[in-house]
Amino acid sequence: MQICISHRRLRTTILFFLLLFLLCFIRLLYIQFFKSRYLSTIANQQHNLYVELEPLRGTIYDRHLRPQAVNFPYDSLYASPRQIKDKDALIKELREILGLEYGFLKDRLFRNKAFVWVARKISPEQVDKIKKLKVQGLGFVRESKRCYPNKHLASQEIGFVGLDNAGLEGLELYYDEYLRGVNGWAYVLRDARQNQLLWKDMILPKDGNEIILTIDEFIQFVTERELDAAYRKFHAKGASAIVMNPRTGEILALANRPTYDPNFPQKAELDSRRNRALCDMFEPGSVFKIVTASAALEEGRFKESDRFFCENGSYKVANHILHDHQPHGWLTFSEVIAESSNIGTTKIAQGLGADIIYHYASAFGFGKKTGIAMPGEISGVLKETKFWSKTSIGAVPIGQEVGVTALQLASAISVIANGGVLMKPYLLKSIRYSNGEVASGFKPESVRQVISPLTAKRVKDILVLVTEEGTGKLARVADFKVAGKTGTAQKIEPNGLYSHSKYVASFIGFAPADDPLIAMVIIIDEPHPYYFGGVVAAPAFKKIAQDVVKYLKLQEDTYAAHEITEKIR
Amino acid sequence: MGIAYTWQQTEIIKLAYQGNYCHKTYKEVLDRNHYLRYNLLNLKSSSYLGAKLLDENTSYEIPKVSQVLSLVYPKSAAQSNKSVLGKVVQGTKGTSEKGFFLSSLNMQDVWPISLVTAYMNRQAQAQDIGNQ
Repeated sequence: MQICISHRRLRTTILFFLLLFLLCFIRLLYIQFFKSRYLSTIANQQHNLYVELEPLRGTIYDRHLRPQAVNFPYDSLYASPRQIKDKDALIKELREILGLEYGFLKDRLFRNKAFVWVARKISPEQVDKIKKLKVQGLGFVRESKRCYPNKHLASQEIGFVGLDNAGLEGLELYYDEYLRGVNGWAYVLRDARQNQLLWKDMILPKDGNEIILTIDEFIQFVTERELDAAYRKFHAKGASAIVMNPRTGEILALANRPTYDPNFPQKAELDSRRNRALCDMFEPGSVFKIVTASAALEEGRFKESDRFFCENGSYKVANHILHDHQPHGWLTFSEVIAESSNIGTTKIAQGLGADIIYHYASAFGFGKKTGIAMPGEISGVLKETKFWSKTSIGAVPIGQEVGVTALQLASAISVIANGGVLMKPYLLKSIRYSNGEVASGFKPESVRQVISPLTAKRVKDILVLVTEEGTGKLARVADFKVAGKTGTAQKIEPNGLYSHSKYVASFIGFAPADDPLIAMVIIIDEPHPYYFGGVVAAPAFKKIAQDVVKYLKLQEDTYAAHEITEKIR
Repeated sequence: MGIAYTWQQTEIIKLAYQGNYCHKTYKEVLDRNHYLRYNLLNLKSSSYLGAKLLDENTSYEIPKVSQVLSLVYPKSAAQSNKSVLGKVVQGTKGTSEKGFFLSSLNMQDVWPISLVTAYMNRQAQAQDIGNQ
């Protein structure tokens, strides 16, 4: 009897455990065959993290490979509001460190979210201070920030980027597709505390290409220094300056005032971000007389010794009275340009005819874009002769009824400097890959032969006279001869009449006159109390030319010394 | 086999933690390097240096060509090129710098200086040194 009871108990126990085992087995089968995909997906999400790898944006260099725009890693602060205990105390601390407003921080930290940005790309000093707080719920993400070590230097040309490192203005925008690079990605193994452990599959990012400009940082600095001085001294509304290599068309410096710091574009006024040298059009005034003079000599209609009666300062053209800034009697052709006589120039133009004036103005590049690789360039205005009025022959040759940009003037004066060839201005020297290999280079491009080399020399001699004896004496440099032309153009009021209080003062020229290294344009918009180009713009030209020519000659000599030692080796 | 696989995986994770620690140290050093590079760029920039050295109120100015002496030849290379010096001296006979050349024959260290000076003097003759 007892044996029967124990056998029954044994069978029951075995049966119970078998049942248990069967249940486990069924559960195992269910997990393995029906739930495996779902569970492995969850596990994959917990263990692995998909990370996008940000490429390094290409650096922008000047012609001597000095960095003008470069990326550095910066930390961005985020918060997990749910994990922060004492939010009010934290807001007080962060206000002090980051300088953010109370309302903004309160809005961010009191959100019912797992992740909120607090401040993007903050300085290392701020990061250190926040780390010392040792607050749970705050973390940092490493991002890349664009920095401009030269601050306002060439700011309108280089432009700036947005928070996501995309170009928004200037060359940063124009060459964004070359500079930005291509994102990479990686799968990263994480532990239970979300620490990144192992990098598994990955595709490395492709860093952006680098661009090398024709700009020389030192020449840019000198140009900006003098332009700034003139802009402040004469309380101008705006100013522009361009320094160009007349033989190649390379832009060595391009400066505008007012200006801004591209490290803080959000603080800049819209007016200061405009590249006036390309985007602003104005009536050039007397600087345009180089076109009339070149046309007259090239066509062979006049010689330097031909004499013109300048009507003692008052001359009627159709129903309009033309005046000179100073009454003159008889002047030679050279003196007409040197003394900037409007009446003398008009008489020369009347001798040539409207069609010839228009032809040469067009050949010098006016009325068309230069084609420089920069956003925002305008073409200016040059009316065809069929739209000229009876007074236009007394206006266009002296730089009225025509709209030009500073860049067009720089190209035009370079024609005189380099023997009569219109060169296309350009800012980019080369594009290269992040490993230094050149992707593409840019060479000087000649557009057309505008005037013969002999005519260019003759006009150059006249322009030297401008600075030696004429209206441009303040542009004279002691060490070498300078050739140039002054301009004082009345601006047009909203009522359509010429203003008697608003002028554009300008000086265009090149130096040294015998062997030009630079061509330069200085434009000062609405200077006061003085407004003559010879008084306002010419001194700035002189100071820039003095330093820049010395600098370029030093460079030439250094390279020559290198060549000698290379030969000896 | 299961135990061996698990042991292998735990060893990999341990190495990953060590690598993480080294990477963190490396990152800190790299960050410091970036910070210093950024400061260096700012200090070397024309807007900073120029404002310090070439401001209107300073007495610095850009030198003329005749005021600059370029030393471009390393001392070590001068030893192997002594034979060339004779030709150079011959070429400059009769010029005012001949005396200088002869005296420099015994000064191996300044041999390249004499060459560069000779070149500069020839160039400067057409400029202001001749006038002085």
